[in-house]
Amino acid sequence: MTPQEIFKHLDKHQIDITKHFERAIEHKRLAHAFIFDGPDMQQQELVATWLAMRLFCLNDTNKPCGECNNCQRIVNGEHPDVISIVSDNKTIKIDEIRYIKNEFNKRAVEGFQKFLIIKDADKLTVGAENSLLKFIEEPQGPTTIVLLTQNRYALLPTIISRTQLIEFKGVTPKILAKELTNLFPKQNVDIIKIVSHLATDLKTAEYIMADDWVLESTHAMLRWYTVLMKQDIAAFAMVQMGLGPLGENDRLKEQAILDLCLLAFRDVLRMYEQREVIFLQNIEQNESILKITSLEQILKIMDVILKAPQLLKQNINFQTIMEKITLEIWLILKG
Amino acid sequence: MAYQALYRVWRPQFFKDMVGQEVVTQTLKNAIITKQTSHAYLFSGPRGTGKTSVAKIFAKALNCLDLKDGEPCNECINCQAINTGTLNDVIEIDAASNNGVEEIRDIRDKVKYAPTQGKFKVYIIDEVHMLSTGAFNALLKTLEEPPTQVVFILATTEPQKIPATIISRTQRFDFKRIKQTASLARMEYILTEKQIAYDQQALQIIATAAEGGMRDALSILDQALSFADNKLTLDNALMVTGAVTQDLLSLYVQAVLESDTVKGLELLQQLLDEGKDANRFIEDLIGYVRDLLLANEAPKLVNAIRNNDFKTQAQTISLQQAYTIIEESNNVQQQLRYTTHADVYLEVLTVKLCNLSDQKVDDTHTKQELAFSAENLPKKTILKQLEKSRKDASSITTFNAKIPVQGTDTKIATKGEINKVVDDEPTKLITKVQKSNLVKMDGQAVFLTLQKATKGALTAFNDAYIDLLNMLTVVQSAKLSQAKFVAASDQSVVLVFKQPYIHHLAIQDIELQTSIKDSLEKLLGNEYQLIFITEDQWQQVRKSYVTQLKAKIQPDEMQAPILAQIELETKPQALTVTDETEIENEQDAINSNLNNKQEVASLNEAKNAKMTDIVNEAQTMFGVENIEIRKD
Repeated sequence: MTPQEIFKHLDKHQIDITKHFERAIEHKRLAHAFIFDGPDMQQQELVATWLAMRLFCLNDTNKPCGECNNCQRIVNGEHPDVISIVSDNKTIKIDEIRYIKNEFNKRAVEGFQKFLIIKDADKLTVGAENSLLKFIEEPQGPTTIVLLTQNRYALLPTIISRTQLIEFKGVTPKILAKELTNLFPKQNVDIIKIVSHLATDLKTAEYIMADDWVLESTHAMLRWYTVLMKQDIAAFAMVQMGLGPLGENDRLKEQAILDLCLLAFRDVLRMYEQREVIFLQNIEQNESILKITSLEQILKIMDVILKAPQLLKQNINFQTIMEKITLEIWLILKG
Repeated sequence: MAYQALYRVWRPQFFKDMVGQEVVTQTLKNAIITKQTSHAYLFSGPRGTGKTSVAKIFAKALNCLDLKDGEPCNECINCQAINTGTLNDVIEIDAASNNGVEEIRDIRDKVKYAPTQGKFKVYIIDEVHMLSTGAFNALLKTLEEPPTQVVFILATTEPQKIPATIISRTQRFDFKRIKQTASLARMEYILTEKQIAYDQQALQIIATAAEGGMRDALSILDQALSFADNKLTLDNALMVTGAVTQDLLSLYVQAVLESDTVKGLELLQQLLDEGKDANRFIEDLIGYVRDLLLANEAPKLVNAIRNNDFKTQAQTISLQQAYTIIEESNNVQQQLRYTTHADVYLEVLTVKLCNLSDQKVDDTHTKQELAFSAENLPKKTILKQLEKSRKDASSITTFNAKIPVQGTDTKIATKGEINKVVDDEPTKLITKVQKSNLVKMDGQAVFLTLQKATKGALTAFNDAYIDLLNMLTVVQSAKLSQAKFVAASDQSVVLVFKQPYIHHLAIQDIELQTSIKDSLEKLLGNEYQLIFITEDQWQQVRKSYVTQLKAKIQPDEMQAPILAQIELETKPQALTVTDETEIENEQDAINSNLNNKQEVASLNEAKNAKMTDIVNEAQTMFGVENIEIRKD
């Protein structure tokens, strides 16, 4: 994105937050450490970049110009004093933080201030988080630190207490669905609706929508659900044959399948409240399901499903998790 | 100079500035005045309670040239040098990033040099819980007997991670959470000093959200202030903390108490649309219900100001309800850490909470029923009661029609009936099979065999046993391998099954019985009556036979005992077979359900048999009616 595109995007979507920062900077009240928390990582990155531009911009106006040398270099990720930590691995380890801290003990290469962005801060190991504590509390010299995360509860409370928390609102399913319809005009409306509830940001949504994966997995999920609701243990085998392989050892996709499962049973719950269903549209079984299952059972099933993401985070094999869910639901349905 | 966060600017510089830690500060001051300072301290406590601040003040007090009543002066060279962080004798170490043995060795090497400028060399080791085990152990000796003029101060939020040997070498100070009133007072002081107007209620909300951490409180205050120029408003405080307004919370609890799921969900949606934080909402909910609990028992402990509905709610809520709400909310709060779909978790929680009172009604119902059945009433009264309950039932159904949520009760009932029907089927099957003539399983038949039994016949059977197994299909022989011949005459033979469950399968398996009969006929050239019993029954029959024989009762007059009932460990289950390969998996699943090894072994053998065998087997195991065969 060019600086102008970033400004345009932020003006459209994150005007509240940029206004807040503008005001804080104007009154010289900008804190030194922030956590950006929200479902859409891209928005957070843009705001972080914008903030860096605002602080480093050579033209001293209240908005970054986007044209000066500093602004240009920040957008291209080339400014030596704006450092961002991005990890492709599952964790960000203490060694990386040590290196960064070492760097930040030195004076800024140009000018007088430094800027640190840590993306996916929830990936920090406990050791890494602890080693950040002192640094975040009292950094040497004028430094601004921004931690980006999708789930701040995964961070240590001691980290949070040292920072100011900026919450980003997620895109609502409606807006997401609209954007997806623009991007994938040929795609089935129902699928778009499901994906818009599945993903919390556009990037993930696009990722899931790529090739026919979503279509396949929704079908597999529906088959599994239908068989399982008939109290048929054959659903257990369907995990191995259908749902398991669809995870493709890809954390995002595995998560998406678990979320599909969540959507399905949430719909059952919604049927009880006579509200609109999202995933289980056009299913003949719906009526009869309410007759054979009690609300109590559905709540028990929800408990089982709600615990699943935790297991995934603990690195338990995806197929095992699905099989566990299947058996537990089957037992609950059996009564 | 860039802006500094409030918690950095207002870091206490005197012991008297410390909020809510009077015990700690007074003890340390006294130690300094009487010159009885120890060489090692451990400061532990939750975040933002002032551990590092006290450590710094203490370091200053030790080195201050102009000590006043145990307080550092903050004016002498030493104090100022410490404040700017330039005094070489006060060394602040971040143990979290310097957590190895190497770094501790470095301390150990340098500790022996005397202080250069100050009076004491003070090592402040912050976040000390992150030291590795090796590092802790390397520190032990130095910590026990450091050179004079050296003081160690260890600070941590997690004292449970510190080895006992470290703790025993230090003086330990536990820092308490800061009370709301104390942090309120401190914030008021700061705001007055900064000449900022504030809303008292806003401060209250910030103090609650800070959960006893002064730094949290100041962080939030800082953020709330950055929204507006030089004033603190309630709206800003609510926005920054994501706290839920009292009124909304009260309405939500009301909905829960009235079991109004629809209303509860509506309110929840409203909260989420306003961008409230899920975690904060749960915390607020727990806090509210806690206050409801306390309102009856100990009204003084309720420190938040609650509205009018609060009182009536406090009177209606039962202890059990309150406990359950708190427990369920707490569970969800744990799970929120792992998900990005917090709204669904809250939805489920709401439905669950709104249906709590329904369960309560159910409980009383069952209790009544129990009492009813327990009473040994004459027939007439029972009939009357039945009539009455039927009327009750019809009134309940009309009641249900009004409230859709409670309709579930009737659903459960119908489901129970279905289960009953399913349960009954196997028993019918058994009685059906018992009538077939192929196999006998009563004590009288065993007695008859025993009376005519010969050793020769039994040996012949045992010799033929292996051949017999070979002549049967794999599945059949697997079943039979669990059985053995115990007695035989020239007309009949007794087969004893070790496992009651296999016995149960065998007596239902007419095909198995016919093939055994045919094979025996081929092998031994005679038709035999088969008698299937279990191990336990065999013991019983034999015992009774032996006692009667000893009593010299004539064989014709002998009385066979009535055989003990067979208790099955596993009930056969209804199955739908959808795919040939899935059958195997199903067998696996069933295997894991059966809790005895031999069955597993026999069924594993069964797996190797041809597919048709498995289908047949499944049919005999679960009854033809219960199985639906489909080819995909």
